[in-house]
Order: sequence, then C-alpha cells, then structure tokens
Amino acid sequence: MFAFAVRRLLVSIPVFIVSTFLVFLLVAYGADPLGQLRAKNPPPSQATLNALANQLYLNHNLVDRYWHWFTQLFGHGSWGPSINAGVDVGQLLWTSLQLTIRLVVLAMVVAVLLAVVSGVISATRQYSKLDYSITVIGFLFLSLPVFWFAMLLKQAAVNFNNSTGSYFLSTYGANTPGLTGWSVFSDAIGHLILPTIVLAMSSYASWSRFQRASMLDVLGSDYLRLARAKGLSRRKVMIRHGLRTALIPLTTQVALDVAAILGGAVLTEQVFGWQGMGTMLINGINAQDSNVILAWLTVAAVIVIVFNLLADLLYAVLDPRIRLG
Amino acid sequence: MAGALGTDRWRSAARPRRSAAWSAAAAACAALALAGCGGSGSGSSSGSSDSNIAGTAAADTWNSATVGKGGKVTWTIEKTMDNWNLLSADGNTFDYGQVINALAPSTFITNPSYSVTLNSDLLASATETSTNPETVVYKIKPNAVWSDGSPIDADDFVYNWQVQNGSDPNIAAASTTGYQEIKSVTGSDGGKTVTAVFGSTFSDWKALFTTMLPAHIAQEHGNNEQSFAWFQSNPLPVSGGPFEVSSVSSDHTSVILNRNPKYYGAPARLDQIVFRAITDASQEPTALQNKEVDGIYPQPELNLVTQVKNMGDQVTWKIDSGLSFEHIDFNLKNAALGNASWGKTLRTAMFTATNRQDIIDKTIKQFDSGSTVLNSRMLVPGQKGYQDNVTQFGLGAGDLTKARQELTSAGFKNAASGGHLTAPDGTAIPALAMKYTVGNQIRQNTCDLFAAEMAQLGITVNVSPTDNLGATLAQTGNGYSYDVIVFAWVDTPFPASANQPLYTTNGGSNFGGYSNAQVDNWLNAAAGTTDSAAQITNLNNADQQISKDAYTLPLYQKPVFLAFNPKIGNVRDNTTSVGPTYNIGEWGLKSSSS
Repeated sequence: MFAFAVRRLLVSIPVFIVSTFLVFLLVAYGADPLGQLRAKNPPPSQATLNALANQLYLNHNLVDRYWHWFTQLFGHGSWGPSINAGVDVGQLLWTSLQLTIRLVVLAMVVAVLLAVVSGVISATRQYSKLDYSITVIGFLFLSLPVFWFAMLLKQAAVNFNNSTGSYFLSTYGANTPGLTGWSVFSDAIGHLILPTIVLAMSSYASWSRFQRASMLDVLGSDYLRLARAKGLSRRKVMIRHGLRTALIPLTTQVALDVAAILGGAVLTEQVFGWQGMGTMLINGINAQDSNVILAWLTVAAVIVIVFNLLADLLYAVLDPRIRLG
Repeated sequence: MAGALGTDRWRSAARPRRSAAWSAAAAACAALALAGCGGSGSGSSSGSSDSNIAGTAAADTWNSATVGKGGKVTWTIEKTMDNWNLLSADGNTFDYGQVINALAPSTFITNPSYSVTLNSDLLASATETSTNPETVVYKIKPNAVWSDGSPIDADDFVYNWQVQNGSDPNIAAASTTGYQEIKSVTGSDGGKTVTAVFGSTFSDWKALFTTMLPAHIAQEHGNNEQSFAWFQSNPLPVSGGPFEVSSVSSDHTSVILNRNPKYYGAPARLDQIVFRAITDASQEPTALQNKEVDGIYPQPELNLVTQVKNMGDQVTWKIDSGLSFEHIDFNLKNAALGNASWGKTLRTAMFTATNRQDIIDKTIKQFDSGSTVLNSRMLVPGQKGYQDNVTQFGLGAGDLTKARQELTSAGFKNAASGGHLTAPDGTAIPALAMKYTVGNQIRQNTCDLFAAEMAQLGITVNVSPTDNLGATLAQTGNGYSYDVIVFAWVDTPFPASANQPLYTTNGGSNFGGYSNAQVDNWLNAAAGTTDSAAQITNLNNADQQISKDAYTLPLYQKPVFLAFNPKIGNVRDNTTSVGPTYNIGEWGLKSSSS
C-alpha cells in the first residue's frame, strides 16, 4: 500500500514540473502585468515602468524568468512579487486557501451525506413516490444555475432578515469586521450558511444521481442475491456488501470534484464575496498579476494530484481486489 | 445625552444580532419563495435624485445635517486594501484613496463644486509670493501634528517632493507632474514655514502636496526608495487626518479606523469608520439592503440602480455627472484616418454622422434621466470656462446627409450609394477596428451604434473587445492595435496640467498620435501660466482646434452613483478623483435619528 502511494507520488513529480512550465508560458504570453498602469491618467513615466519591470523580473527572457521563478519557489519558498507591492503572494495564497477550505469542507460533508442517503433510498425504493420526489429535487438543483440560485438565496435572506430584524444571515464576506468574543463565532456561522447551502446543493444534485445509479447496479448483482440466499439480513447485505461497493464510483467523482472546488468555487465565492481561491484567481487574471496566477495554478495542480492519489487509496480501502493487486 | 442615546440605537439598528437565530432556516425557506419578487420598498427616500448638481455650489451642501458625536459607519470600497501608498503608481487607485483621505493630510481640499480650497485645519496660508521664479510659501499651523505627536513640518514636504520629482528612477511614483518642476523645498520658522521654488511655472500648484506621507516614519525605513516601498505594504502607523488605523484584516478585505484623538482640526464626529471591500459591484445593493454596509459608490448600470431605487426609504441615493467622460477617439496611425490630404474630411464626416444623443438615449439615459451630451474635452459643465466647442463644427449631430455631402464634395465615392466608400485618390477605405473594454456593455452598445452609423457612409467598422485597455492604448510592440476606440478620461479641477499630455505632440497619453503645432502652443501656454483666464482661453482654443481636426468626439460625462443609509449626515458625492470621503471627519449620525 505504502509502495503504491509512493509510486503514484513519484509519477506525479515530472507531471507537476511540466505543468508549471506550460502554465508559466501561458501566463507569460497572456498577461501584461504593467497593462493597467499604462492606461492610467496620467500614465506613469517610462522610468517608473522600467523600475517596475525590473522589480517583476520582466526584462529577462522567458527561460530565465521561469528558472528564476522556479528556483525562488523551491529554493527560497518565495512565490515572487505581486504587481501590487502591498500583496505578499504567499500570504494571499495561504489566506485564500484557508477561506476556501472553511467554505468547502462543511458543504462537501453535507453534500456527500445527503447524496449517499438519498441515492440509497432512491435506489432501494425505485419508482416509488419518494424516489420520484428525490429525483425531482436532484434535477431541480442540477438545472439551477449556481449564480442564479445564489442570488435568489441572498435576496431571500435579506427579506428574511428585514422581516425578522435579526440580521443573522449575512450575504457578503466571511466575517463582519471588528467583532470580538463569542460574536465572532456566531457571525462566522451567519456568513457560512448561505454559501454552504449553495455549494452543497449544487454538488449534492449530481452526486445523488451517481449514487442512485451505482446502488441500482449493485442491487441487481448476483453476489448480493447470493448473500441474501445464504441468510444474511437485508440490512447487513445492503450496508456491508451493497453500499460499500456502490460507493466506489462516487468516491472518484467526489475526489475530482472536491479537488476542483478547492481550487476555487469561483461563482459561489464571487457572489458571496469570499476572498478564497476562486476570487484570488479572478483578481489575479483581471490585474494580469502573473505571479498570483502562477501561484494559484501551482497549488491547484498539487491539489488535483493529491486528491487523485487520495481517490486511488480509497479504492484500495473499499475494494480488496485493488489492495491485493 | 440625546446624542449618546441615538448612537446606541444606531448601533443596534445597524446590525442587530441574535444568538438564537437558528430557527432562521425554516423561515428562510419561506422567504426564498418570495425572493423573486425583488425589493420590498416603494417610492424613494427624500433627497434621492438623479438631477445633476456636481460642480455647483449646491453640491457642497447636499445632505448637510446636524450630526451627533459617536457611532460607526461601514463604507464600501471595491478593492481589497492591498496598497497603502497613494503616491505610488500601483497604489494610486480611487478605492485606496477613499481610505487614505481619512489618514493623510493634503494642502488643499477639492470640493464637490470643483472649487479648490485651503485645508485650513493644516495650513494657516498657502500663497504664491512670486511668479518669477514661481514661489509658493506654505504656513503650517503650529498645532498640526501626526497622531504620535510629531509635528507636521517642512521635512514632510521635502520627503513628499523628493519621492515624486522623478529624480530617483527606482521610485515608481504615480505622477511626477508639478513636482519635477520644483527646484527646491526648504523649511524655516522651526519647520512650520515651507517655501517651494519652481524651476518653470506650474499653474496648478494647488494640486501638489496631497495625501502626504510622514517623513519621520520614512526615516525609520531606509532611504527614500526603501521607505516609499515600505509605505506601499504597511498601513500608515501614524495619521495626519481625522481618523487613524485601528486594524486591518489578514485578507485585506476590511480596514477599521478610529477617531484620531490628536487631530488638530475639528474632531471626527464618528467613533469608527469601517471600510469593507466588495469586489463585485453587483453584490453591493444586497449588502446595503442587508445592512452589512451603510454606503456604496459603485459604477452605475441599469440593474444596479433599479435595485437600489426599489429599496425605497431604506436608502438615500444620488446620481450625478462625474468628471470622467466617455469619448470616441480615432487612431491617426491608420493610413486612411491619418491621411494627410483627405483624412480630416473623412474623420469629420464620420463624427458628423455620429448621433451622440441617440447613443445616450440607448445607453445611460435608461437609468440616468439627467444625462446630456458633453461639448468639451477640456472642461465639464460646472467648471469655470466650460463652453460648447463641439456642436458648432457639426460633430456628433448624427447628420447623415451632411456627412455624405462633405464626403462627396471632397471627391469620395459611394458615400450615399450604399457601396464601399472610396477616397478621392481611389483608395478603398479599409475596414476599421473599433475596440471597447471587455465586459463593458455600455461601451459595446456605443460601438455597435457607431458601427451601424458608419455603415450608412459605406465604412465597415468591426467591433471587438479588449481585455487590456492599457496595452491596447499604449500599442506596445509593433504596429497599432485599434483604429477607433471608446474609453474615458478623468478630468480634474486642474485642467491645464491634466490635458497637456493628452493632445500635445508626442504627449504621454496622446495615444492616437494627434499633432497640431497650434494646439501644442495653446496647451503649453495653459500649463505654463497661473492666470486662470488665460488658461481657460488657451484650453478652449485648443479644444476648438481639435474639433476642427475631428480627432476625438466627447460623448457624455459618466454618471456616478452614491447610495447610503439615510441616517448618515454630511455624506455627499464628490465626483472628482477625491471621492465622497473628502469630508469624512464631518460624517455622522443625524441627530434627528436619535
């Protein structure tokens, strides 16, 4: 098992390095970090632009720039300067990642639990009224654009707050500035509720369909009938033999989806004003801040690699055949 | 006592919290069903209006109120607070300025009426004592101190001059205009008198020494280059304004300012100002309605304005015409548009066929009923000397017949036949590339309307967006990247120095390559005199000549939009680059709300 994990990690290293180089080329060709400054009125002098180009290492050839970026990152732990002198890219990355994790973890737990429970119920009571109801709800959230659903939810929260006068539900940001003590915690909860609902429901919708289909497959299999024939209880057969196998496809899907969402639940973060990974990427692209974009892409690549590895390891836990192989 | 009571009530009204709000979920579900119904209010709060008063005396007193002492206001900025040095090239951003206005002293105040008045909290006087060489003497008030007790003195003026005069190529200052003309800055009278002597005349000297950095803090952080960089990434540890920094969130999304107890002028009325960054303007109305912020200042567009108007008495809103104006520019590097013999006729005809009123009616007038065409490139209505320098030349009239006649009589072919326009020398007029900023729907509509009008002259205009306006305008690299473009310039209360680089030959922002010796002379003369009457005459002469040359076409002043909790007094729009926080020390909670 350990050797398997190490082997997978080693394979990932050259993939990671090549991807950083490709990404660097894309950013270097696509982004002009000084573009916004040139459009200012009055524009900064050429000497000023030259000084900034020098600070950002822009006046070197591409290979030099990549090598400089690479060695700074892996030699000194520096992500390089932002075009905005007040931004420490490393700190920005860390803060953004923390916020995204705070947002994503709860939403994903809720979504997985809901998806597994509703998927199993739907499958075991196929074509019942309950199955149809769950299916309708699933398709409803599957077809609702995240942006629109989020806006609708926000307006609902505002109406609710205004009618009750409580103002517990917040629509923007991760916290209210300047609070202390217990109110910090309750305030954080108030900020978390709406984006969590949006993220959880949009992920739940597709996952519940996966789980239902997978469970139906398993329920129709011979080994499950054999288990029942040997006298095992329906409950034991369902949970121990059926559900465990039926979780494998969902595991893959969840691992890939969570990796993507950790890179930034872009729409949700944008609507609710969370300065997470998604917002970091958008701001970086808008400002054509190449080191910020590169930092995001590097971390996103690492997250994808790690979660793929995690999915492989979970397969091994769920399916003994993989472990033995 | 009434003030204190009012403050408490305000606080509870601003963002009341209830720990036992977990039962919210069920009610929220019910509210969700109603959400699609939109705003609950009807009518508008008293004072809300879209009639333009910017640039008039009324703008200086709008929403004046007797306010109590104490309380807190949360104000919106649209960028995370990533740079604290407003004097630096990358920190010179409107939103950062909204915060810095509360902290850094300026010698003069730019008012909503566009008047420029002495900051009498800081200075006893600022006088031009000689015109040859131009000499300005600033008398700093004896009690003017930074919040750590250090006096505000000549050292501060010297430092702010040195970091902005362009002498150190490694200091990326936002602008060196004016400062590079200064030959010396010296202190006397214990540092409380400052004398600036100019090498060449700089008419807009009142625009200098704004949002000054503290020299004694700079000394603690290395040489000028090092300290200038330090100020970019660190909140000002001392304040020379009515508030001082209390805390900054780690993600830079909020800044808390408390009243500066050492402020040498009238103390701030509010205890605390919180600046919150909402980086997506479309989310601002919801945050305002949910009382997460008390005021917003977004770029207006139809949906956003409608959403705020629907909030009824919950908010006071105001639309004004700003100092920023949209315009269509030709690129004279294009062989047809810049043709020496017939280019001017072509350009004039194109602008004659452009219907500015139609463009306004189909874009900003949908939410700003008070908007009108702008007829000057140098000044806006309300500024002294504004006059119509455009319509007399027929530009922007949408007169297709006249445009065709001009072209036909100059020897152009197919102007009226619906065919492809051909120049007198037989050159087919090439398809023109027109650019607008990606995502800007109003500009896209403007371009589409312009292209449709040009099609009627037999000219093809291909409209496409640019995601990098700066690079497109600067045209770095080979060739040029646009033929026609629509974007905005920001006028200032100092029009002479602001317009000089836009239209003089090889000027820093003369992107379209315009050159006219007379215009050069007029604009240089305007920037080189302190006589305001002469300045205005020169600016208007230059403006008329640019109209004759049909280089650019001003369209309209961009509307600005302010919306806030009606309980806040003395908040008003300042459409200059200084913004609404120009008088932040006077903001307060209306006594009548207590």
